[in-house]
Amino acid sequence: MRRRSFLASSSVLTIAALALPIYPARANEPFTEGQTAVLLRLVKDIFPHDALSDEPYLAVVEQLASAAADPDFLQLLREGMSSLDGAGEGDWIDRIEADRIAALKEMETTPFFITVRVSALFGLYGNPAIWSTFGYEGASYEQGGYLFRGFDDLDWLPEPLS
Amino acid sequence: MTEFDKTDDSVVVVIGSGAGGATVAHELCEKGVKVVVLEAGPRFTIDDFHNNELSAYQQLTWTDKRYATGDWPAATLAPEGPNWIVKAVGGSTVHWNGLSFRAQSHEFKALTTYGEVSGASLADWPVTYDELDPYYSRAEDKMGVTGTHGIKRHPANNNYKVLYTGAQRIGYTQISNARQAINSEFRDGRSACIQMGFCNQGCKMGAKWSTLYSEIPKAEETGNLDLRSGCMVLRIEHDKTGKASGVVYVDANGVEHRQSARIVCVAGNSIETPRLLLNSHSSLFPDGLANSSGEVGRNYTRHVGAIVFGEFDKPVNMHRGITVPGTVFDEARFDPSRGFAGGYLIEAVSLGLTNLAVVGDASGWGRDYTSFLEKYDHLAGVLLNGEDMPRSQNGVSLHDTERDQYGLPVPVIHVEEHENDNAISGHFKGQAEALLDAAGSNKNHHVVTAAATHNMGTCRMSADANKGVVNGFGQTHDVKNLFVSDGSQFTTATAENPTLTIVALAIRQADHIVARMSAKDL
Repeated sequence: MRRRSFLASSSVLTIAALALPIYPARANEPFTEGQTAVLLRLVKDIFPHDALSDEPYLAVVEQLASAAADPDFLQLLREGMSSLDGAGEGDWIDRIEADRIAALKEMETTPFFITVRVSALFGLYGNPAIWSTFGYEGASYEQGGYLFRGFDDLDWLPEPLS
Repeated sequence: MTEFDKTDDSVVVVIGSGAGGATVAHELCEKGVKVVVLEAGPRFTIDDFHNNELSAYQQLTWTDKRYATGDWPAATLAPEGPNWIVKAVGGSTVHWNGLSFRAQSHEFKALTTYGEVSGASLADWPVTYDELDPYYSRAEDKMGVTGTHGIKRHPANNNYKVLYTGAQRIGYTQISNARQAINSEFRDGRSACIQMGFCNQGCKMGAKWSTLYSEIPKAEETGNLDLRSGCMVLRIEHDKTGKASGVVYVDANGVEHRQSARIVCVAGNSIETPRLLLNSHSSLFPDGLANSSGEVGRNYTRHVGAIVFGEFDKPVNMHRGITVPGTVFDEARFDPSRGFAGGYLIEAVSLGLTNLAVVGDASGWGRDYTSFLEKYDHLAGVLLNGEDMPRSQNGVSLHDTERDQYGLPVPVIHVEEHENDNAISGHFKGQAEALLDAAGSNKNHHVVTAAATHNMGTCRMSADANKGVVNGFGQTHDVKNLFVSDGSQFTTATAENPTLTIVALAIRQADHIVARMSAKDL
């Protein structure tokens, strides 16, 4: 039911509160192998980063699978995946990137797309395993902050006069 | 721990433990007044804080149901979570940035200075800068504000270097990294900052001033404070003469209690404070407690906001160090030739990768968006903090039918932006681009900020009882022993971050209460 309310709102900060529960890693029982492949392709197309392996994207798919224990949520995903194929020639997953993106563009305001986007948003960028790829260093308290680790190491601009 | 009897009608009850509530409570306790603070949220220690944006948000944020309506960004981007504030002991001093600016003299006379602005409910404050000046000084000392009272500034971090050089190159002269209530060295029992970032997630060093580990423990040491966390106040009650007599609240176990009171101070932030007064209606006060003016819940301001990120050839690593490390004041002046009333600050700002991805574009996806995020360590950010126009129709009202987990009507926060607000954000965007370009930015990204963190004005001060809820001391015009002690009092928003002014007003209010108590007038 909490899922429902965030679908309705598509509220970013509200979602932050709702999307946070970390679902235990589980096999992707609710989905066929083909559906799992579609979800993986989908989250990669929504937030493509060539430098990332499939692993963090698969973690998002696993979170979706866990959340699909809720029958309403499962139905939303299944119906959304079917509609993907309907929006062009052949199976969506087999099309070239530009065509896949064009099909997604058509459905970017649907509850299905918003749900997957928001799940991927928190599942991916909230995953500490990917942060170093972006140069984000995450928690710093344990390392004593940055006082002796480069808080002021920018050397390509003049030093401010205080 | 001190515990006062619930029937003890000699206590001052303070509702809320943030910048306003905990400060007024501490000041009263130091002067021998018995105080009960009722705080809706739980009590954490600094060891409980997370260096993680998502888990900290989940831990600290007030996520009780609210609705946003009107045409402000929150109405579409965060319709059920329009305010990013804290539900915990310490209130929003747990997640604030620490920027401690005095409002400017002319801003206390907004109506006189700016003149009538069509569609705005501008007014002058019933308190002047000169009257507040000594209290500002006491607040700066209390909070340990850098650049005041001989407290040294922080060294410049990377993000501030970008702001500073860009600002200087486009001709700005008032650029500073001082006025932070973040310890640059050990002071007043609090550690020095180690430039770890995560100022908004609860400072794990306790270097940033927060009532959680400054005012509250000091007040407890006096033996005059009884702090009850996890206690949500449902209503304020009054006696047959119309004086506040006590408050009814529900504790963390769902048990209802009534605490008698000699005086009640409300400091629940500008959403919960008017909501509580409206919910405290009675046959004597049918439109809500202290609302004979009809101004309770109106004139809501939250500052005009926006962020621009510049993308640089070389690394910035904006996340290293203080989150909002410096400010440009040149645009804070009164200068109608720019095409708007009021002014604004330009503040350097950083976000972690998670929050950047979430707010960078509220519906962003695809390669355009991800290529921006991939520049993470080459980004520097600048933030707008601008004076928004108060409007009578902007504010907090009660939902007709929907109730929250306490059975209280859900608050609805309505904002119709004034054209002056848009003129300020338009001006800022141009200046921010110029500033970032001058520092070497190749590409700038504009971010809409949806959630309001500075909530003000919903129980505004006015010398005229027909035009405002409280007088210059935060005392309600209708109920002599009922005070408003938070940012709800602000008559207008000013361009400055509100916390220092809230603390200064709270110190002044406590002095006033003690003086009136001594005179047997309260």
